[in-house]
Amino acid sequence: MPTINLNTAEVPIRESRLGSVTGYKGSAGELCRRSRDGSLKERERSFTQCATCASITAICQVAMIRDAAVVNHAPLGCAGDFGNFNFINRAGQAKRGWRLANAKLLNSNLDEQDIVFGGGGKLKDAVREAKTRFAPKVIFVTTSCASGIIGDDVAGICEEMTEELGIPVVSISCEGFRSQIWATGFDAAYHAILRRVMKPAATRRPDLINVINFWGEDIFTDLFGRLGLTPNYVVPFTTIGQLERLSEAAATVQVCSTLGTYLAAGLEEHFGVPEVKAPSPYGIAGTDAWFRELGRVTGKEAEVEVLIAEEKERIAPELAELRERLAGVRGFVSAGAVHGHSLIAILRELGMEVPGACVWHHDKRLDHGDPRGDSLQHVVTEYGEVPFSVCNKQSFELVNLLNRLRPDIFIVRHNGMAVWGAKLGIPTFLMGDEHFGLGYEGLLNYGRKILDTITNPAFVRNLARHTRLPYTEWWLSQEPFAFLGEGA
Amino acid sequence: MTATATAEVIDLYPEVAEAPRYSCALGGAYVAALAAYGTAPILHSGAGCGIGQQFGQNYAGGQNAAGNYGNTSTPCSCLVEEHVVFGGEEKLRSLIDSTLKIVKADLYAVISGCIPSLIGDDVDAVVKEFRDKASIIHVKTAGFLGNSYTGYEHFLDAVIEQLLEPLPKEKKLVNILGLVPSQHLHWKGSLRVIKSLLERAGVKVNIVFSEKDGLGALKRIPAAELNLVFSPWVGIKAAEKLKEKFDTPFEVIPFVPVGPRDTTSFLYQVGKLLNLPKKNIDRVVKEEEWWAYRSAEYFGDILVIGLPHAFFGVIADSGTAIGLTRYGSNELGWLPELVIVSDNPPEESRDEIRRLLTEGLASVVKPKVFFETDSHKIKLILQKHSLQLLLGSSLEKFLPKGEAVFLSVSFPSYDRLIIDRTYAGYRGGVALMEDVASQYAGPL
Ligand code: SF4
Repeated sequence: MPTINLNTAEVPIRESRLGSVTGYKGSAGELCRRSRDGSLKERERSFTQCATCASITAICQVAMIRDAAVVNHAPLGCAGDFGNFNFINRAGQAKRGWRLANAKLLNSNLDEQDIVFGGGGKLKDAVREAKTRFAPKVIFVTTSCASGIIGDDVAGICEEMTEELGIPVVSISCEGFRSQIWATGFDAAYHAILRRVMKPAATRRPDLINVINFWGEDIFTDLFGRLGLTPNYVVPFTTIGQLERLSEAAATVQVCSTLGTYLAAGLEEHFGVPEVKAPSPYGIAGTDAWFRELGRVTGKEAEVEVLIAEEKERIAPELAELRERLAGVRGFVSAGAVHGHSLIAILRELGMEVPGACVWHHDKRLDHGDPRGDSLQHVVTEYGEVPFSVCNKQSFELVNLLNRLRPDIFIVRHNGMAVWGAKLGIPTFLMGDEHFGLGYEGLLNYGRKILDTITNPAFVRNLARHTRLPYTEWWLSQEPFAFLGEGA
Repeated sequence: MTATATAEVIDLYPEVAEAPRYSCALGGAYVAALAAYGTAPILHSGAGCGIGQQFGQNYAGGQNAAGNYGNTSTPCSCLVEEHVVFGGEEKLRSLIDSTLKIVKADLYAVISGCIPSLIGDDVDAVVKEFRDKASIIHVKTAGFLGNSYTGYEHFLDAVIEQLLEPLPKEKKLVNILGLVPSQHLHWKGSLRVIKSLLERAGVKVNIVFSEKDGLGALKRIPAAELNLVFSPWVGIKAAEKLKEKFDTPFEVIPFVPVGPRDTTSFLYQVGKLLNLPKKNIDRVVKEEEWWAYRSAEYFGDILVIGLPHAFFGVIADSGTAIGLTRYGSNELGWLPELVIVSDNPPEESRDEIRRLLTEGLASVVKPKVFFETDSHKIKLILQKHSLQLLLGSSLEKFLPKGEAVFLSVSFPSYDRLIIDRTYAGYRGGVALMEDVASQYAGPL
């Protein structure tokens, strides 16, 4: 059954493609069941807070490609965060010992005039300017709410400019209003790469493994090296040449299938690169399954068994100690969908209790459709039920929930959410590096970090004592999901 | 002046922006609302607009968090396709209604972005329905209508039009305008320094943004005897409107004074405007100057050893640029090579800004002045100059610039945490020396 259609300029949004939802409250097991039997419906809220949009997530994938440029066709505010991408770009460059340079991002600066008369001319100028300034191999053009509503024909202009400039000028349709699921922006960027950048494989490289990730530490060179494999991290910090040849790899793995589902499935379906379909490699059970599946796909079964045995033996003494010290500590988890599931696995593996978890959205299925990749079901099967909700980064729900549950520690991704744990006086940490908890060593990393975090709560206690929450007493006494409407 | 260099780099595609030095009008109104403590912004926009500002205004403004009402706690209508097609008024209505139940705030500021303006929502009408239930204003700031500076002015305009009532004048009360939150990197510190210096001279000061009671501070604006605008251009519109509506005169202090010399003349200037007894000012000046010049002895060695008569460049918003250029030239003996004004001031104020940057300098060297916001063009300008010290934004930090010592002093700066730090006032000059010297004295 073909799922990835590369003939259309726009990627189908997650709501329609994966049945994704932004609101749910119940248990993890029930969510899995209802995702399968079709009874899960989206639930709208009558109160909402700032979240994120697909423009931001699309740009985060293409902004760090070393020899590409990005033109954001939007008013200036949509590029307000370019400085932050610049920051991430520099951090990545510094880590790799590269020369530090600004990210190659331009904004077409739509103003009132363009809104009335159309922004096409300006976009063309911006694309030409990007070519002159950066001499890129590819120019990606991202759309915005404004360009979408005024109806600029961005895809058409990109084709025209491809002709004029002699390099691919590729549109990425990521208008914020198109989808409530901002992960749709990842898909939009990957759609553009699959359609316009990648080439069919001329040769195969049996050792090369595509690793879809953000910008975590390089841990796979060592792990894969022991299997005779080489990681190929994508998409940030790659080159266009590297992306053109993604098709040569022996397999694609992902550290978080919320991020990479579309690219991995597209690589398999259109370029014959098999996707490793397994739960995420967090916690022992997940890591075992993930590596075994990688071994099966690449013919490295024997090597994988050695790796698993060695790693488990290596971590065993410290893991036992951490389990003893963390037994019964209550940890609340909040993160993007699959990464959240992964964090639950880690905490349960460390012997902790998980009184609740709240993820930003939920995909009923992944693009490959294989139940082996269902990371939430994996958690339920391995570790039992967990109270579970989907809150679309709605901090009013989260604050209410945390305030009731009062966990010993709050583990969260996304900057805007972390501070709420701290303001409630709950020891909190935010781990930006998605590889930190990965694999066997990741368990130890998390165990140590959690112990450090709960050891001295002085700052969060002080903060809690001296800040007043922005919410009314009334709200804090309501049921946390009181504003989540009934499913349609 | 370098007419050739100017022409070469400026003419290409004038509007395209690489790594912009401000955000949209929504961004400016949003940070202004957050800075008026106790004000909850309500964004009527796409879901990503507010988060973009978190990275693009708050983190960019010296790695600041957004506070209680910012970031993911900001109510937002998160408009999607169905609203684009059928309108977003109903969504906004229910959002405001639920916000009043859930979010505890003194003032609610509905800030509308690009989408409602493009689809023609009548936001004013919806907001009006709630006027009797809470203090609420509507700041109409489609993103494409301007930048962060304009957004700040839109916010003040909405406050003046929709919130302020005439009040009897309070003697010796002044409002401080023109220091745009987050865009003036050291806004919190600068406002507090100005407030405390003036208070010691017997003035009552309403700094409006970052006062403890934000709504109270806003409402008190009409009571002032005088408005002081600390920018050659931002905030003047608001001051004019306040003059028209409440008969409050205003004075433009076109830059933030850095170091003893300019701070002293600023104090005497205000003294004259408010008819303060001269001895009040004398006392403050005497105490502060003693310590400022005593401090200069402490940094004297490292200054003459490390950076004597340095050729320096400044890249900053106009008010910051003028203050720093004057302090560097007139008090530290540096040689101003170039100034790039990065806040895109309107055409009509540029001559005055150029004048303030080139006249009244002790050094024979006068800076070349550029008006530029695009990072690439700024890079091209820098390549044509050799500097020993560059005061800029963190975007310039890793540009190849020879041996130049670098310190970020302007927006955006992602490489520093800035909360109370400021280069304003007497101690500000010392702080600047500390920070600059730390760049070359350390970390060996
Ligand atoms: S430019 Fe418009 S769509 Fe972009 S962040 Fe600003 S208000 Fe939102």
